[in-house]
This record gives sequence, C-alpha cells and structure tokens, in this order.
Amino acid sequence: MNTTINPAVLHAPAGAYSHIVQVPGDARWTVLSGQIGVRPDGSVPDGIEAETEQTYQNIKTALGVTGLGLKDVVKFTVYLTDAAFIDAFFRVRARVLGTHRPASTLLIVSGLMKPEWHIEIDCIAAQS
Amino acid sequence: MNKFVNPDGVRAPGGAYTHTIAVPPNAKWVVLSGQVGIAPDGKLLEGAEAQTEQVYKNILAGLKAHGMGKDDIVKFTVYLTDSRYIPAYRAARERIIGNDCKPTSTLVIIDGLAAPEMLVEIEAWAAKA
Repeated sequence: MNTTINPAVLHAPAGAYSHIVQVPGDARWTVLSGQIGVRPDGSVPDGIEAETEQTYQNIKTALGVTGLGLKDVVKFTVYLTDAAFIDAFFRVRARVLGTHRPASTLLIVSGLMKPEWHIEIDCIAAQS
Repeated sequence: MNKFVNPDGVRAPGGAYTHTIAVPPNAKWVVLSGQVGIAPDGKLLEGAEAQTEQVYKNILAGLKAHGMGKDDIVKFTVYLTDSRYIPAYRAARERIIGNDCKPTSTLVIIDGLAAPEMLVEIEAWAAKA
C-alpha cells in the first residue's frame, strides 16, 4: 500500500494533493501515456469541465487494464492550455478523486498535440 | 518483461505510442535528464529535425550506459517550443527510434527551454526486469 505524507516541516498542500507518496519496494508500476479528453469515438466533449471528466475517465479505464485504479495513482502531472481552466479542473478533480491525494504537478503550456485539446494528464501508478 | 496494453474504452493511440505499460515489481529503472539536441562535441544542432535526431541518439547512449536499449523505454515526455515542429519531430523519431518502438508518451508545447536556440527536449524513463 502506498503512503501519502504531508510533513509538518512543509506548508500544507494548496489543493487536493500530497507532498510525498511513498511506494513499497515490491510494487508493480504502471505508466500511462498522457491522457486527453477524447472519447472512444474520437470526439472531444465541449467545455473544459467535460473534457477534464473524459480525461479522468480515460485514466480510470487505462489503469483498469492492469488491475489498478485511481487510488493507486502516485503522481499526476497536469497540463492545461489556459490558466483560466484551473477552477474547472479543480472542481472535476475534487469530484473524481474523492479523498485520494496523490502527488501532483500542474503546468500551463502553450499547446498540446492538437489545438482542440485543452488538457492532458500524465499519470504513474503503483500497487503492491 | 514490460507489458504494453491499449485498453478497450479509450480511443486507440494516434501515433507510435501505447496507452499503458505495466512494469513488474523486480525491475531496474533508469531515469534520464531531459535530453536536448547537443552533440558530444558540445554543438547544438540547427533546426528541429536535426535536434530531435540528436536528442534520440543521446537518449539511446544514456540507456546503453545502463545496459538498456529502446525496447526498455517505458515513457517519453516530449517538449517542443512550437507546434509547427511536430512533423519534423515525428520524422526524426521514426528515423532514429522507429515506429515499432511504442513506449507511453506525452507531448506538450511550451514557451521555452534552457536556451532560446533549443527547440526540443525529451525525457525518458526505462525499466527492465
């Protein structure tokens, strides 16, 4: 089981994440490609909130293949194409993650592979 | 052995990558610094395509130093300073890495790297059981 730690020597996290996640030595790791908000039929939902929901749905589906789930996520790296999307992203993340608090990095980038994509989330997970 | 899987329920990859790779518990991991298009003589090559070729050569050299090769790569993170470089990046990737090599991958367009002449930087992780 992974352990999340927010040590007293650091400031409290500014959102739904943990400063530290510790993974036991016998864990098996799963690495995902950056997931985007594209549905299985190739379409992109309208609006950043729906796009974010679809991105997390893809992450859940992809982790499920190797028997892992969102609770096993060690680290997210989130790329948004506009800082104006942060509030919507936070809302969806709070809904999707519940009480799970992986380590996290958030970046605003000037673009992704296609201009119609506004969010991409990287993810690495481990289960022992 | 790393297991490459594209899940049902997620749109199939649009390029030479895989959605998920599972790494067994006893694997040795190698993490590389983001590589840029600088040749061993210290010269930064000109243009996105030449830089990308050099980046991949640097990555393969870094892996070789640990007894690993391109089949052990589990993740690329690609940083380009302009989306117009995507076709050049893809051409160079195909030449050096080949499209049969499909680690997980993330590509983002960013405002800049450590020097303004640098157009591409790629991170790589590899694992071998």
